[in-house]
This record gives sequence, structure tokens and C-alpha cells, in this order.
Amino acid sequence: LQRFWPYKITGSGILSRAGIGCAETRANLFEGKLKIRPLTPEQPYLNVDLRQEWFERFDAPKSFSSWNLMALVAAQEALDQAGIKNFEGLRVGVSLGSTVGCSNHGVEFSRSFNFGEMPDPAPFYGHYKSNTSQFLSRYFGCKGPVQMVSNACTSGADSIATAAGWLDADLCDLVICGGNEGVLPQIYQGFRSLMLCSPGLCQPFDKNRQGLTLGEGAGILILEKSNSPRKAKATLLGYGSSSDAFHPTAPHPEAIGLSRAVDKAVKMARVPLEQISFINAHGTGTPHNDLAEGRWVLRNLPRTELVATKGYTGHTLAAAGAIEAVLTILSLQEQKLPASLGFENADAEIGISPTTQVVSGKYETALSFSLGFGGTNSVLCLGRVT
Amino acid sequence: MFGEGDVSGVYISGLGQISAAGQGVSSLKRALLEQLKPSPKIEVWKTKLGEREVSYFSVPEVEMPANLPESVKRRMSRFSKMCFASVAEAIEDAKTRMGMEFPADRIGLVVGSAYCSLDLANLFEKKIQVEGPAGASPSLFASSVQNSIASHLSITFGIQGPCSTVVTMEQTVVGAIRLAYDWLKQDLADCVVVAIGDEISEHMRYATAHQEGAQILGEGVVSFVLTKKDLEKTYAEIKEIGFTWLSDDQKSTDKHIDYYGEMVTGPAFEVMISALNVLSKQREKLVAQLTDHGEVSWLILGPRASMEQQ
Repeated sequence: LQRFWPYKITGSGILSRAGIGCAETRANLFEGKLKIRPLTPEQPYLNVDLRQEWFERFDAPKSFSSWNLMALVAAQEALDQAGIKNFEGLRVGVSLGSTVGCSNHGVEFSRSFNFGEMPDPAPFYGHYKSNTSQFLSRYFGCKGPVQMVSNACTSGADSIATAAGWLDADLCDLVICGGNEGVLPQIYQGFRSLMLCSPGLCQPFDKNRQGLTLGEGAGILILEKSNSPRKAKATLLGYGSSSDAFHPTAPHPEAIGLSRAVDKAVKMARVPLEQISFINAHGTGTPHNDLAEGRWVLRNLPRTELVATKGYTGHTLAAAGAIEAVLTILSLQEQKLPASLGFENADAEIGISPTTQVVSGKYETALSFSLGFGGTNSVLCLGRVT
Repeated sequence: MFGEGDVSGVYISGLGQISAAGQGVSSLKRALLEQLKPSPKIEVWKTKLGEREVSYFSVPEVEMPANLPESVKRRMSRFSKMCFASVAEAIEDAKTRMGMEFPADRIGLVVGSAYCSLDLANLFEKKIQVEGPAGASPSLFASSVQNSIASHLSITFGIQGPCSTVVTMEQTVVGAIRLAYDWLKQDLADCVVVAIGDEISEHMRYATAHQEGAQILGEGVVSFVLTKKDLEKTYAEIKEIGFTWLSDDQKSTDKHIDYYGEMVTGPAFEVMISALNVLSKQREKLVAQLTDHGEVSWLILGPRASMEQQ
């Protein structure tokens, strides 16, 4: 069924508050170089400062959407890392997850329309026609399948799994996959209205955690078949997905859906659960998520290292699964785990703690968890390449 | 289970629909048979170009499944209600045709839409624009998130397998079916419910008012239950699904647009109509959709293998 398993990850690209590109992110995570600015009322989330050079390099107008530009920069880094200069003779697919990348967030059009100002409708069509996957596919001239998934916070991981399915079906030779996200005022207000936002920076798994901190960015992988001639930087060994069928915005307290997704991922990976080296948790910093996720880890892998990275990146929503896949790959490459920024005090109700400092070890396989609104759960199993 | 056995085919084993032709597959079948084309509504919009007319086929009041609590119904968008009605019919149809039910964790769900619940999302934004941050409604926000429909469907119908929402404009229809097809082929599920469609939003009607010679807009949802089991009463087998780049003369096969109207996810109706035709006439059918940029997504439906041998 998985004809081209294990899937080769031949390149990765990342932009987030944790760093611009893999090299800077690696330094920030493992050398403690990152300085996170405190949140302010004007800037209540972890943004990415766009650089003028990106607009010039990609010939993008100033009006270009920040999330599409971030996806483009991350995709270019991933392709450069894979050593792919052109797609001659290659069937290339694009599979991404995003919220803003495929929804109507023409803010000015919407405001003007709602106040009866009869705006030019071009932004309405323009936005939908610039769906990030279709945009990247056209930008790079890819001739393969294109898909945009909007599955809340599991979208990035789901898109990577979709890519593996395409490779097995031989629909294409390689896939640019992952996720991108931007934070718009209405998204922040939505999370705030649900009382899910932390007043300060998020504190995943901490007993004093008060919610999530939104973030923006992009994480892109180049996924290829096991027989690709290019050298793998890591492998995608397995993935699993499930639905809690429990609550529109809260995870199942016993993480039953997560449990099923993990079972599927390790089965496909052909790795016994106890051989998992570490877990990159979803770890949003909300009371419910961290409790459910932590309980699962305590029940099943209490001695396995647990890392929460949203203290560095913020919760990048639909991009989170992809960004965290890249962070997991960096850990496998470096054989180091970062400290879980924001965590200070253990929560007795959870019963486990994530890393508190940079640690070194022998890490061969890792699980990356994503849990989303609507009770979706996705798990990626990633492997080290020596 | 992973790595065990193979999946020989993927079959359409249940259908549901809601459109201007009515609620239920039988309504659309009757409309096609008797050529009962719906009458469009006509609306006038003020634009900077002057007053402009927009015509559209509207879905009548949606009859909701009886088992749905009132509190849930109140929070649902109109589009979400259409999805519910269509999915409920497809699931019942599949149960009847297959004479069996699947375990909840082996059932997957894919929702495909170009625009999702756009009116509800706009209402959420409008309240903030008018009232400031205090206008942000948690229930409107939760229901306007693109995967909220899949979430409500999975909770109501107890679907615990993989669940996703595909939003890829013109490639949504084939993409959503392809995702379900891959889950079945990869043995991530034994059965996948796929609901595809759109509603006509205010934004869309306003934007269309600016177009010269615009077609009559449409809305609705088509649901499919896809399975790996080839039983006597399944509609058709999905023979191939692909994404290609073809020349500009490749035509979309929107042949029944007079019954459901112009919509990005309209080819879902063509897939359903093809499945009905395959069952009755036992001939292969191709459904293709062309994007503005020349990409083509397509699928081929054919008679079940066992029927071909007869």
C-alpha cells in the first residue's frame, strides 16, 4: 500500500518567529540566541518581519499577501536545500495547509462592502484565485496535483500525509508540501473571544499556563519517493489521522482520537511505540490541550522526551504541523532537543514535564503531534538519516 | 491494516444531494427526467456601474435530520445545513445499499468547498467592524472556521476516522474525492463520506453583479459514500482520478448546469449524475474540470468490475 515508503525528505524550509530559514532557526533553538519580544496590545502575536529583499527576489508587489510570500520563501529554501534548480522531467505536486491562504480575508473589501461603499469586487476574486497552493504551483511552473487543506491546526501535517499518498499513487515524483499562516485581526479577535489567548507569551505544559499565543510563518518540505536519487535529510516514516467526534473547539479529555492517530502512524512506520525517541507536542499552552496531550504521554510514553516549541513560534495554526515537522527534523539532524520555552513549573495534574534546557541524545525516530479545532488529530512519524 | 492486503477498487456506494432542484437524489433525478428546470431568483444590486441584476438558483428551506439538537441547528450556517441534509441522505443510502455499517473509527470524512461558510464568516467580521473587539462572537467564530462543517458532521454522525476539508477552488471536487480515494487505497479507512458544494454568498452575488453576461449562479451540496467493498448495489467504480495539464480546448463537462447553476464545485453534481448513469447504462463516464490557468482535474467512473463481466 505504501509503495514508495519510507518517503524521503530532501529539503526543508522554515520562517517563523523562531528564525528565518533552517540555519537561523537551528541557532536560535539550540544555542539559545532567540530573544522573543513581549506581546503588546498593538502586536499581540508572534509575527514574521517581512524583508524587502524577498519582495525583490520574487518580484512581488507590495500588496502581495504576507502568507503567500512566506510560503514562497520557505519553498525556495526547501528546493535549494534539495538541490533542485528546475523541474525538468519532474512531475511536481503542491500540497499545503492554511487558514488565511484559502479563505476570504480581503479585509478592506469586506469592510467597504459591509459599510455599503460599493467596493471594486476584484479583491474578492483575486483572493480566492491566489489560494496558496495554486499560487505556488503556478509560480514554480509545477505540472502536478495541487491541493489546499484547511483542517484547522492539523492542516500542515495533513498536507504532508496527502503528499505521501500522491507519491504512492505515482501521481507525481516529488511534492512541495507543508503549511503557511498569517494572523489577521479578526482571527486574533476570534481566539480572544473564545478566551483561548494568553495575556503574555504562552507557557506550554506549565501549571500557570493561560492560553495560546498566535504566530505566523511557513514550513515546507520537499517529499520524494524512496527511490529518488536525491539524498534524504530525514524520512517520513508514518502518519496517522483521526477525529474525536467530541467537541467543536475542545480536544477529547482522554485524547482518544490522538491515541488512534498515534497507533496508525507507528504502525505505518513499523516502529514499536516504545522506540520513539522524542515527541514534539502540539503544546499550545491552553489548559485543555496540554492536559489531554500530557495525559496521553503519561499513559503511554512517560519516559520519552517531550518538547514543546510554540514558545518560540507561537501557535501558527494551519502551518503548525508543518513548521513543527521542520523543527523535529532539525532535532533529528542535530541530535539535540531545544528547551521548551515558556515552561517553568510542572503541572501535577498533567504529571509530566517537557524539556527545560537543550539536551543531547541518540534520537532516531520522533512523533510530531497536531490537534485541531473540530477534534482533528494528526501525527507524523519522522526518522533520522545518518 | 497497513501493509495487509490490497484494495482492488473504490466504489460509490451512497449518494445524497441538495440543490435548487430540491432535497434528495430523487428530486434531481425527477427534474432531469422531466426536464423541470428551476426558476432563478433575480436580485438588483447597487454598484458603481449602476443598478445591476443577478440571477441565481437558490436552495429551498433545508429539512434537517430529526436527530440533531436545536442548539446545534441554531449555530449552523445555511451551508452547513445543506451539508448535513446531503450527508444524512448519502449515509442512509449507503446503509441500505450495503446492508452493513462500518466501525466509527474506520469511517473518514472529507468536506470540499471553494468558499465554505462565507456569509457566516462575513457576519463574524462585520460585527467586529461595527462594534469593535467586543463584537467578536465566539460561537460565530467557531462556526465560521473552514473545518467547522466537518467538525459538526463528525460529531453528529460519530465519524472517528480521518477528517479533512479541501479548499482548492476549481480543483476542489476532484481533490476531495482523490483524498478519500487515497485514504481507502492506503487502508486508513474502510468508508469515506465526501460532501462537496458551496452556498451563494452576499459577496459572490455582489461580485457577480459586476460581470457582463454572467451565468445563473447556483448552490448546493453533493455527498458521496465511497467504500472499498464492491457490493451488488453500489453505483459505480472510480476507475481513475488525475490532475493534468491539457490544451485549452479541453472542455469542462458541465452539462446539467441548468439544474443546479454556475458554481465552482458544480462538477460534483456531474460526478453524481454520471454515477447514476453508470448504474443504469453501464458505460464509462469522464468528468473533468478546467481551471483558469489550464490545469485539468478529472475522474473516470465505470461500471463495477463484476457488472462488466455480466
